[in-house]
Amino acid sequence: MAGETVSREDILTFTRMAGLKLTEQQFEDLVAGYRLYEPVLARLPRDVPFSAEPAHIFDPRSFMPEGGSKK
Amino acid sequence: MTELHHLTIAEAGRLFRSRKLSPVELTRAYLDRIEAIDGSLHSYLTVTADRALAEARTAEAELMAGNDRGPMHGIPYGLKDAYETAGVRTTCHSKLLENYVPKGDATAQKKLRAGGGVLLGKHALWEFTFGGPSYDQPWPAAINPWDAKRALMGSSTGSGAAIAAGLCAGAMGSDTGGSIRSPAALCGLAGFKPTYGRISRAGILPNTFSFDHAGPMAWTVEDCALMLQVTAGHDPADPGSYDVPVDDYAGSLDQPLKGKRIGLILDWYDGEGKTWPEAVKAIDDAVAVFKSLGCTVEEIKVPTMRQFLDCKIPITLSEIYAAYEKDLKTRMEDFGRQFRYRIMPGVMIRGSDYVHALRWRTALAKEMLAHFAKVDFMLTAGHLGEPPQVTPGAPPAILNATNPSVTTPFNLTGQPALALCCGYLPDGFPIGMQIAGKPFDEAGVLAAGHAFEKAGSFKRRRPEIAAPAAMAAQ
Repeated sequence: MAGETVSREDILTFTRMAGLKLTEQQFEDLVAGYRLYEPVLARLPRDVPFSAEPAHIFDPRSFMPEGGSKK
Repeated sequence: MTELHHLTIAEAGRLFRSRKLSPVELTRAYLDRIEAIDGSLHSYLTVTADRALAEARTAEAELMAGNDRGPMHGIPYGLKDAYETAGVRTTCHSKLLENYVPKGDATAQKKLRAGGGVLLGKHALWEFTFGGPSYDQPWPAAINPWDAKRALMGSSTGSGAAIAAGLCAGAMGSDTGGSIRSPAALCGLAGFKPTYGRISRAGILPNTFSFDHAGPMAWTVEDCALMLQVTAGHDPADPGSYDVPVDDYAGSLDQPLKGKRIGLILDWYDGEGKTWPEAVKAIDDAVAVFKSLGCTVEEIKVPTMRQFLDCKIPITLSEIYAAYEKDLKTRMEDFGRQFRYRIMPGVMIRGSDYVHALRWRTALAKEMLAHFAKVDFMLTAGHLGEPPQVTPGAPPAILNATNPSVTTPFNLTGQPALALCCGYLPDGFPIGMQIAGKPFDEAGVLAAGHAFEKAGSFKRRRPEIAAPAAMAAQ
């Protein structure tokens, strides 16, 4: 939801989609907490080069029965 | 002679081996002190007194018989209560796990146990290493022994308080954004976050899989080296564990620093971030100490703390929300308000936000680690100025988790970072700094920290602990 102000109704929809049942106080806390994070999401760069892959590249050796090495 | 409860791990080990002190004697000293003063600090959630005495008796017999299991043999220590312990309640400071008794030990605890360590108990923390301090949980929040009104920050709070107050010789903490180093800095200790994957996370309740690190906290850097020696190493049970040889950390502590190049990250604490003027001066003094030891020091420009935190937030919110989603749906009320407040916005993070942040992390780490072409270590503050005020007995304000942190960047880069005491404010409150190194150069970072401590440019102090009745009257 980066770069835009999400309405309280939108936030409520997200909580319903996630299956959260919140009291009034909990919902107010969620809205207040999200308002702090909203600018953070707006600043998130979305154009880093493809060479910047996620750091936790899947290493199948880690899941071998004998315990694979990561070097 | 130093009071027993203020012996370092190294000192106690020497006294054990010269038969001037027994593990049972030392364990009793700690248990007596916990009984006497922890009512004012709340650093322990569970004290395992009977078990500790039994382990101490075993250690004593083995050491007397010449069966030496290494540097933690007979040493009384504590664990952040995020570490699972077989047969001992593991709560993560949450009502959710009030009655959870694991069947197995976390790998780090297995290693400490095999090394003959004596488990005194489980330490208080921020709920699930994330939401705190919590005042609506079954146990009180830990209090800073240096000043009850200053927050310990998170999340290895009880471990920091217990070590500073002489309630254990060392502790294992965990660090996702500074949770070992912040309380270490605010308690005048050494706290070490080794390289990501150096100590197994298996059996430690998660915060953010991508950033969680386990590590030691102790009074000295040397003691951190001894604890790391026992706990480091590859563990197939942790998919993030690396099979990299474990160095002789204690044996490397006295390696010369002459010719080492230090990159000073000044902007984080005297630019973008601000700390106490006395802390800026203390780090200036530390720079002078390193120069006197033969190092060169130059300022380096790295990504901002703001960038690192902006990158961390979508990753942490996504991962910790997913980790506890089932319980958020079914037992929301059992989480503390502080934890709920911080974790619930995780429901709003999109998958693409998460992936963009993961990719940005790679770019930031690359930019940061590129400096190691020209420097061997990085030096910066351990904490940014005045911690939030706490009124004992009253709930604190909900913390603003979007304030940049001087510790968080090293969780994203995964490099080893050591917090250590570098002085005191005029009112006696400790000041900390950080030394960070190349990935898997734990030995080098610890040697630099040890050299600084040995240089003795200022006199270390312990906090004066008020008795429980006096604390209650404040």
